[in-house]
Order: sequence, then structure tokens, then C-alpha cells
Amino acid sequence: MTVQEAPARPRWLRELFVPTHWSFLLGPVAVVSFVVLLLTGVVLTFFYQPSTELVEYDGSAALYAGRDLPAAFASVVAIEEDVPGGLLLRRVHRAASYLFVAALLLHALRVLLAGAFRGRRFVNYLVGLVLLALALALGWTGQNLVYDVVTGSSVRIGYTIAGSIPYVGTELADLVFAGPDVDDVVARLFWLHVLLLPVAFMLGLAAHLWLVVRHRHTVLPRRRDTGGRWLVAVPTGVGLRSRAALLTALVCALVVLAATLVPFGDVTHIGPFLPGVAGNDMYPDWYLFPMEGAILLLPAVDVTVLGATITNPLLGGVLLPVLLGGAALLYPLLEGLFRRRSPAEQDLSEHPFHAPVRVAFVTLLVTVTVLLSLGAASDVLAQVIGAPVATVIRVLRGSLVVAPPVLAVLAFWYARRRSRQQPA
Amino acid sequence: MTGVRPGSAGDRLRRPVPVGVGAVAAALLVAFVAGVFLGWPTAALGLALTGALLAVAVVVGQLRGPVAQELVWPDERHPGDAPVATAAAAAVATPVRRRWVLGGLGGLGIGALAGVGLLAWSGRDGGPVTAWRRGVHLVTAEGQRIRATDVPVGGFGTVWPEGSVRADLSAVVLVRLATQEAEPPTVLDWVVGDRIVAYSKICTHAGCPVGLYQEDTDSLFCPCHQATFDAARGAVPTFGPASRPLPQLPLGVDDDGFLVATDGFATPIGPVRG
Repeated sequence: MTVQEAPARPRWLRELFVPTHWSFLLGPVAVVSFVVLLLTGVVLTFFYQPSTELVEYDGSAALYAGRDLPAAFASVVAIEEDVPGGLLLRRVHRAASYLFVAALLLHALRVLLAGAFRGRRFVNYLVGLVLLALALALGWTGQNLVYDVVTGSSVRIGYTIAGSIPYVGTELADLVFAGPDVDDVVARLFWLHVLLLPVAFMLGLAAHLWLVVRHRHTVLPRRRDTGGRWLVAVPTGVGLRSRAALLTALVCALVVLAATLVPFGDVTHIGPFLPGVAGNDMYPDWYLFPMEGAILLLPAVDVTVLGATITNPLLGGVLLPVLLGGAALLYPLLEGLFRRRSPAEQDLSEHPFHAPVRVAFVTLLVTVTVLLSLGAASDVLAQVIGAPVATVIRVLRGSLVVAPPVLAVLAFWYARRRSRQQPA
Repeated sequence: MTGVRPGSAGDRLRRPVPVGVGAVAAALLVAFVAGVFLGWPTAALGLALTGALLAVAVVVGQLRGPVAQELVWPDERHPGDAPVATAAAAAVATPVRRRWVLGGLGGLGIGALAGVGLLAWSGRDGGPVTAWRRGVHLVTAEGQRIRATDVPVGGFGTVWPEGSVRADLSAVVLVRLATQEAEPPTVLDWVVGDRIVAYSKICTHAGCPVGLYQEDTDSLFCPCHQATFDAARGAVPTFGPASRPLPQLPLGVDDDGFLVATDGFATPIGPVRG
């Protein structure tokens, strides 16, 4: 096989090789959806009003004719009903955010499973975790700008979780949320969502991509029948622009089509936030289900230790996410202690089956996350199954203790068997 | 090598397929822009834009040069060799300066400690303040005072302190018990006519409004995280993640028979703070 002469391009680009496998597109898909979010978001700010003052609604939605609405909600209704193409714009922003977070999560899973965090790439793995946290914060702040009936509870829960941190919680919560009154929060969240968090994400993304170039991409080992192992990659510099354009066009088409077919985040029929009003079916966006499920499933706790009150929101909303994030953060270090590989070997994108402990760890992480997410929807589950909510919650609590370790052991056993059948 | 097409990008552009699809893309894009100004329905706008983007993708795919080629080379490395990408491309990677990383982390740590110190130093207040005082009447969302005799079984849902309707944290849920008279730990002096009780509507778990009242069990129920409180027994939590009862509002009747608060809340409302 001859290597075609790469065209004269910046040297860093010529020397960056990316393997040919669909899973390596997850990161680029996230970047494209982020650009879509930036562009649609900028246009949305032209029409959005970050204010909770009551204004008389004079738009074309018959439901609110003559009613006093919070300005933020009224402006969102105006975008949906009266701005040309506004409904599509909002839906595209929402659909792109779902694709964005999903692609980031799958990308993180790919990096974890393939061992792409090893060696010098660990620094970039940490940057990636920070980016994931920023993305979740962007999602949460964004969905609360709408000021619909879900916002009130969502913001109050966020305030409670921040306030549950011992010693500094109340001050921290007041700093971020400007106080316990939901009215005060929207203006604060607006600047977080449109300025602080996006800028932080862009800086982190720049560092992330710069480190990918600097560290080089991992390459894919490909087994051949004869002649031992072969390594496969594509020189990124060749046809980069056309591939980027193709990916961008396809991702944009997917997002626009999804937004056309599915009413992502339409709020006109939901109604504004009004104090004292709560709906029965109020849920955050899907990627916040694990946190919501954690404070729902964990039991009531009220213990005071050294002047700090430990409560359910602290355990489920702070400690459990920190524990999960910390495990993802520390796992590469632990693996590095017990599973030493040469620097050359660390540049290979490993098949997960060859690292059974890693497979077990990822299984544990994913199982806990999925069970917590189910917990957030326990009332829906109860309706579907036809069992009392309390029973569903008790079953999920039990599963949370039993299922993760059992599934992790099964995954370990299966991966080890596959690995022995098919050695590297 | 598969996927390689002969000729330059210019040659490929002059073939009929890209020209035709490119024209379709341009037409759909024009239709989308026109549709925005003409106020087309969302479905038409979305389909036009989707079609335009897909057509663009087809054109780009047609114009692509020899991009599908892979570099394949035998893995002849031995343990301890230079990293493979370096070997393949004669890379010039230099490690990120460890000192910078450590210095950055140290700086972040010092900054975080200073921030925590500042927060802890900035002092604390005694929890959310409500508008409930001695002599403040209970009113509906429309501002109407409430006669004790008019409270139906099950109750009114949300009521407010007079003059502070829709003051979020002052929301109170007013209930006439359906199945039994109030009993301790309910403060019986704060109950009107043995059955009318009022509790803070802010859930002690995470601060959502306690939305539902179940008459058959006299329980109050929070839709956010399924916390359940026994309204006949001081709103103590009976199921779910809440650890403390909903604070009870001291309730009385004035000379005209209207419900009135005889004092503010005795305990802080809302979730426990850390």
C-alpha cells in the first residue's frame, strides 16, 4: 500500500491521522451541533426578554389573549407564534441541544471504552469531562429561561441542591441564583446561558482540540489474516474541507428534519410559571434525569454532623453526581497503576473486550445512570406498569443496590471470555 | 483504492448530477427564505430547509476528492517504541509542560479556597422570610377572604397572605380534613373547627409546590419527587425523600368568621439548608 503524498498544508494538520470508524465522528457531530446552537441561540436572543415582569399579552395566541404573562414567557410565546420561522428556530435550537449532549455522552463513552484516556491524553480527558459538565449546565440554564410551569420547580430544586452544601451552600446558592425567589433567577440564568457558559465552553473546546492535535489521535489496530497486525488511519489533511462540509450539511439536515417532525420544547400549551402552581407531569430535559432520579430515589435523611446538616438533596444532588464524576475522573489513574502499557500501545484505540475491568467499570457507571434516570420517571413507569408509585420506587431502590455490581460482574466475565477467544 | 474519482474538483462540478442537485439546493433555499417572509407553516419551512441541506450534502459528496483512502501500515513496533502516530508522521509532539499543569491546578486550588472562605465569611441569614404575621387574613388567588364555614372538604388548594397574593414563598395549602379530625403532632390550637388546617406549600425536600391532596388518606403529595405528608398528623412525611414535616400555619377565626393567621410560621419554611 502506497501512501499518497499529502498536499502542502499546515504541518500539524498533515500529521494528524484519524482512524476510519463511525464512532470517531461523535466528537465532530457534537462540535457541529454546538455551532448550530450558537447560531440559532444568537438569533433567539434578538426576540427573548430575560424579565419576569408581568406584561399584558397582545400576540396572536388565543389562549393568552388579554392575560398578564411574565415577559420572558410572553416573549417565548411570541417567538413561537408571531416571529416568522420562530417555531422552527426554537425547535432546531432544542433538537440541536439534545443531539449535542447525546453526542458528547457517547463520545465520552467511546473514549472510556477504547482507552483513549491513557498516557499523555489523560489531561485532555479531564478537559473533556469539564466540557461535559459545562454542556449540562448550558442545558439546564437554557431550559429554565423559558419560564414555563416547569421552571419554577426546576429552579427551586437547583437552589435547594446548591443550598444543601454544608457551611457555604446558602451563600453559594444566593451567588448563583440571586436568592430563593424564582422571579430573581431568570436574569441571572440568562447571562450564564448566553455569555459565561458558552464562552467557557468555547475556550475549553479550543483547548480540547488543540490537545488532540498536539497529542495525536489514537489509531485503530486492524487484524489481518496474514502478516500480523496492521494499523489504519486517514490523513486528516486530505479532503478535510469537503468532509467537514459533508458532516455539517448532514447533521444540520438531521436536526432540521427532527425539528420539523417533532415539536421539541413547544411551550405555548404548557403555560407560564405562576407561584403556587404545579403540574403533575413536570420533567427536566432527559439528560438531567439522573440527578432528578437521585434525589427522588434516595431515602429521606436528616443527620447533623459537626454543624452540617446532611439531607437527601445533598446526598442525591451533590454527593452522588460528584461520586460518579469522580469515578470517571479517577478511573484512568487507577487503571494506569494496575495495567501498564508502553507509550506505543497507548496510542492504539483498544477493543473494549481486551480490558474486562474497564468494561465492568463502564457497565457499573451506565447501569447506575440508567436506573437513576428511570427513577425520575417513576410515576410514568407506575402508570405504564399499573403498579403504585411507591412500589416502583422501592423496586428501583433495590435495583440500584443490586443491579450495578451484578451486571458489572457479568460484563467482566463476558468481556474476558471474548478476549480469550480473540486475543489482541 | 476505492472512492477515488478522476479529475479535478472543477471537472467534477461540470458533470450533470452536481449541477442538477445544486440547482435543487438553491431553489429549496430560496423557497425557505421566501417562506420565512411569507409566513409559511413550520412543516413547509422545515422540509424545504431539510431538502436544501440534503441537496448540499449530495453536491459536496459528488465534489469530494480522493478522501476515502486509508493509510495502512504494518505494526512493526516493539514495546518501548515511539508512539505510533509519531512514527507514522514524524511528529514533533512535545509533552505539555508538567510544571504549567501543576501550577495551573495549584492556582485553581488557591482560588477555590479563597472563594469558599469569602462565601463562608459573607455571613448567613435565617432562611426565607414569609409575609405571614399575626392578624394577616388568608385570601384566595383572587384576593377574597375565606370564611371558615366555606372551606369545602379537601380544601381550597393554594391560599395567600392578604396583600401578598402570589408571593411565591408565602404560599399555603388550606385543607379541611376528609377522613378524621386533626390529631398530634398537629398543634391543635392552630386548627379551626377540628378539621381545618393550613401548611406551608413549599416542600421541605427540594422546594417544589406541594400540589396534590388525596382525600381518601388525607395526605399531601409533592409531584416533583413523590414526597407524601400526612395532613391529619402535622404533615409529617410518610413516604419519599422529605425528612421534615411541612410547617403548620397558626390558624384562627376573626370576629367576622374569616380565617386569619394568629402568628407567623414557628419553624423555617422550605428545604433544610446545609
